[in-house]
Amino acid sequence: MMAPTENKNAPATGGYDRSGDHSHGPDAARSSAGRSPNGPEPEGAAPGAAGTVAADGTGESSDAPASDPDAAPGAGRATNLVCGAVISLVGAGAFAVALDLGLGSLSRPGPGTWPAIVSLMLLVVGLLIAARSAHFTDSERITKDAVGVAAGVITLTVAVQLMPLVGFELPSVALLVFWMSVLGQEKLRLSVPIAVLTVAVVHLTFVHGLAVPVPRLF
Amino acid sequence: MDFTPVIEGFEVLLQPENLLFCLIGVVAGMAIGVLPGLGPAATIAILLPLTYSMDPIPSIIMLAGIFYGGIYGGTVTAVLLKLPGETASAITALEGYPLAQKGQGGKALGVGAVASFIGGTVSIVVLTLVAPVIAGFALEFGPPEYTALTLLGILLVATIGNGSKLKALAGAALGLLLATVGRDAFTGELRYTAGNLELTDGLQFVPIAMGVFGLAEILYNLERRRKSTSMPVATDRVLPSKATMKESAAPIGRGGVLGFLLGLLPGGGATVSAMASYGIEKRLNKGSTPFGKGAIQGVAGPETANNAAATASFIPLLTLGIPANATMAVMFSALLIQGITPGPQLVATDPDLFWSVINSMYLGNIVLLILAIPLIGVFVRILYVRSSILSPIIVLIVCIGAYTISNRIFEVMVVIVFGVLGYLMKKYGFDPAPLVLAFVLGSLLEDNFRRSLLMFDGDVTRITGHPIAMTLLGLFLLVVLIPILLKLAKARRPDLVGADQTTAGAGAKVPASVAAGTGTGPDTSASPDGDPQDHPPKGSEEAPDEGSGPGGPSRP
Amino acid sequence: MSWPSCSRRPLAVVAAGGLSLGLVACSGVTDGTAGGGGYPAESITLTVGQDAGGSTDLIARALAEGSQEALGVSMPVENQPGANGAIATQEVANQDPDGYELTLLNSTLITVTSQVVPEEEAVALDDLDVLMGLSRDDYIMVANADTGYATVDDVAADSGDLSYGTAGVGTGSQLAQLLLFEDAGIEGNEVPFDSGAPALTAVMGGQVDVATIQVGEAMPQIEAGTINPIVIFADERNQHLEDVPTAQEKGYEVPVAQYRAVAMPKGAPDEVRQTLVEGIEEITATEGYQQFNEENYLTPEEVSGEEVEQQWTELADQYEQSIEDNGIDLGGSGE
Repeated sequence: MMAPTENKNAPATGGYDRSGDHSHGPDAARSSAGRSPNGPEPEGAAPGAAGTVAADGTGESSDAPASDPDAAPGAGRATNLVCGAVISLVGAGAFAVALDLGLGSLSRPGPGTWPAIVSLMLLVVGLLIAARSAHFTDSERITKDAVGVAAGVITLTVAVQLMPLVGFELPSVALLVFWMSVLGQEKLRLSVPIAVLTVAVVHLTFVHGLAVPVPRLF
Repeated sequence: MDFTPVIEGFEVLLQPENLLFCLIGVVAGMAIGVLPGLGPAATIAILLPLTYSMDPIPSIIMLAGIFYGGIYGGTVTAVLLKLPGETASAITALEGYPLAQKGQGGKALGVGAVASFIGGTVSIVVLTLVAPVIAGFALEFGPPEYTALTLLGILLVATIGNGSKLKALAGAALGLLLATVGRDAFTGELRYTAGNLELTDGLQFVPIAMGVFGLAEILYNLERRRKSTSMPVATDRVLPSKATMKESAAPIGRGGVLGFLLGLLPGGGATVSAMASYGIEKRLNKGSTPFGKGAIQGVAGPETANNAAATASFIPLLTLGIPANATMAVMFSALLIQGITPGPQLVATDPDLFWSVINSMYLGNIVLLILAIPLIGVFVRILYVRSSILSPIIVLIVCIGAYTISNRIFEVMVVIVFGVLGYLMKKYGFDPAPLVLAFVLGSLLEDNFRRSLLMFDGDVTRITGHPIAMTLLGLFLLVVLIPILLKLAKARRPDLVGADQTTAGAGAKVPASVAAGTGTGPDTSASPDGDPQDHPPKGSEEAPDEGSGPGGPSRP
Repeated sequence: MSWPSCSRRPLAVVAAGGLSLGLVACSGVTDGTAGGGGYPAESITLTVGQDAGGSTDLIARALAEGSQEALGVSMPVENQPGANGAIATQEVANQDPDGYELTLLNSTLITVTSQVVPEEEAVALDDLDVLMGLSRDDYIMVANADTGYATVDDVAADSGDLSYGTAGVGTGSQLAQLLLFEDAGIEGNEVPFDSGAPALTAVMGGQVDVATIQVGEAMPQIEAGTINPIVIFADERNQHLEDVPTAQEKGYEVPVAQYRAVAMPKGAPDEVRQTLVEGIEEITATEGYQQFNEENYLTPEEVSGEEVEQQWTELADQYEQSIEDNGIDLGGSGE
């Protein structure tokens, strides 16, 4: 631990993998776009590319999964198609609102001028993404484990909504215990004391230390 | 120019009592600055009452300490937890966080501290020498100039993103759109608020950044945690090694100049300078680590720029009485409370005070460096905590911190919503950085563009009467055109295989020569950013990822 | 919900006071006038609807500084920015009138902003009980010294080819400027900025020809000679700028100024209200507070709450009338 060089304990450390993960998506995308030995082709030239890029023969693409056993499975073309469609829809909706706001003129630009420009951009980019959906390899499938993410978000939202009603302390303790023990599989005899202690420290820091008006019980 | 007051100012400054106040200021500033959501402006505002009953000089000295401590506190959370406290440190997070994930958080923070010190100090030296002369520079910047500058900034956003350029563009467009939410500053019309009073002032940067960066990261790891629970246990030396400093020297130099020049501009200077520094370093990067994976240059440059700009923003405040940003606005009122009115008269009427403000900044900077280096080791230890325990605690502090921004639950909900958005973006290969940065520039661009049109009465050609704006627009065109021209030139070269040049908008691509290993086509999109130096040679892209420490690769 | 904290910033006390330098005057236990179990027994929150660092915030902090002395308890200032103060004002209006929740009101929120925003967003004084007025902050129209403008007539001479800056939609700055130009028949391009400071910068840089900002913002530049004061929008001259005429003197009926007052939720017990009014009066009588007014070019306007309510309501009606008569478009969806 005191060695001057960084001392990774194992290739599977979360940290390393996460950084590895950052990289392999975009790089794989690049490799599919820029390295095809037959010369690059616009969309449509590599049917099913999303699934096959990893087998493209470039060392990097095949390396990345190996060094990152945790990597979530890549998502297919459909996911990117949906992404593009959603972006376009948001753009289209925003554009409609912008038109409603009024475009104005050059000498008197209206409130809708700029939003219209930006939402059109969003619309076009969304369509392009949808059109090129086969080429992206940087999306991941949402796995079963995403249940944990959903649970995390829901409990967080509930806790936050409760804060103005009953003060932040109790919802926070409950939230911490849930996240630690249910989502993080820590033992209760560890999570409960940590949760109580954390909330106490936060209380002291924000309420008494900084005199920030956080909704509180005590 | 008479420098006697400068020298005399130092004598006052170095009294033990004043040194102590500076120390207290730095420690308190850092302690509060590391709390997510509490950026430098909030930190100063919170600690302001401390200075009420003090004499002007010690209170100014303490404020300078708080100022630098608060900024550095934001850097710490940006690097370790991807929770930037203000816009400029969002850029530090881009490379700093990957470094921390590799167990090199200490290195990032160490370089950050040194870079901040250099940026800040150089800036003050220049400030001392020429403040009154260059103050006028800020006045040359009107709406047309800002429009041109932010356009350049938006272009940089496109370069900053890692991954697909098309997806980066989508993120940027969404960021620009989000910036329009709220009351239109020109007509008073409400835009995209859906009748919600909480949205009338629009969305704020900090909750969005904490959401798409910090919370999204935690949610993302929640899904993966079942498989691997450990966080990096590695640590490294805190004082940057010679090799690291050598790598960082040039970025620090460039960042300092950029930061100083852009920091003079009221509004957005610090952010654009940090972005510009990042963009430049990314392009010039010949180092062993590619950008996006924890390139130390990406920390050194922007941190220097950020601090140089933060310091330079004192110039418009002290010499013109114009607060350049939210932090300066709070600083302004802190000085007013002490009976000091910053403005053109200050140097003339009260040179002692003027110089003690400036000199206390030297002191604040030095004290910060001295304090930061030993403290980094302590900060980095945060990451030793298992993520199953650390993450919930961070989430809680983020929520409370978000609440303190405007004292309402609404901001906390914004964090959660953007956390979910950030999670989805991460899953589907969208880099959140362009969204956040475009959001920052969005309202600047729109407001100044519309202001320009009003000033010109709709006649766009009148911009030709603004030389600075024209220069910036020229620069913009150069940055867009050069890569395209380079591509064209490359396309004619025989050693490159198959050139597919289509018109802009149809996805121009440059195939990389596999054999030569030089340059790779940037992406799958129509983005004009195709500078071959954008990415280092493929051959070196993989291996050095783990070998950037002084001791060489040590991965088992 | 709100519980007392023993001093304003105790962590700061820990940070600094660990070295016991007595930096912060207030200590945990109250002393002074509040005896026994009566009101006030704990700190009083003063909510400000603007960001820290603005002039409203500054006034709140100057007031709060004297609270320990006058009321025997501390008065933490809480910034709750949003919708030009509407969010904070509504929030306070909905609190219990127990005397522990006060707010610092900006008159333009009531008198001008309400002309611009939709009905449901407009803030009226109905739910609030104004304790007393504090001060008046004047608006002044300024021009870059290089333009040579010194009077409204100079500006009028260039009518049509002008651009002018305001501090934003729905501000007193915008109203004053538009009314004056309408009245004087001056035409030009309105360029709204986010607040007074950037508008001032634009005047100094020659980006716009004139702008209307607050006197406190303009003073240092006027003293330095970089900008010319042209006209003040108030019914009387500002004591710090005796030479500058008011718009009224010049024959323009544009009495726009920023007044500030302290208010609390309606329905407080008489003795609580009485204690607060006396306390605030005591603070405003202190030398430190008066000096603060002086330094920030504020004109004391320490009148009773009833007078404030009456004055502001009249102003709001008057502005509405003027806007209608002159066919001015402040923007926004409210009519």
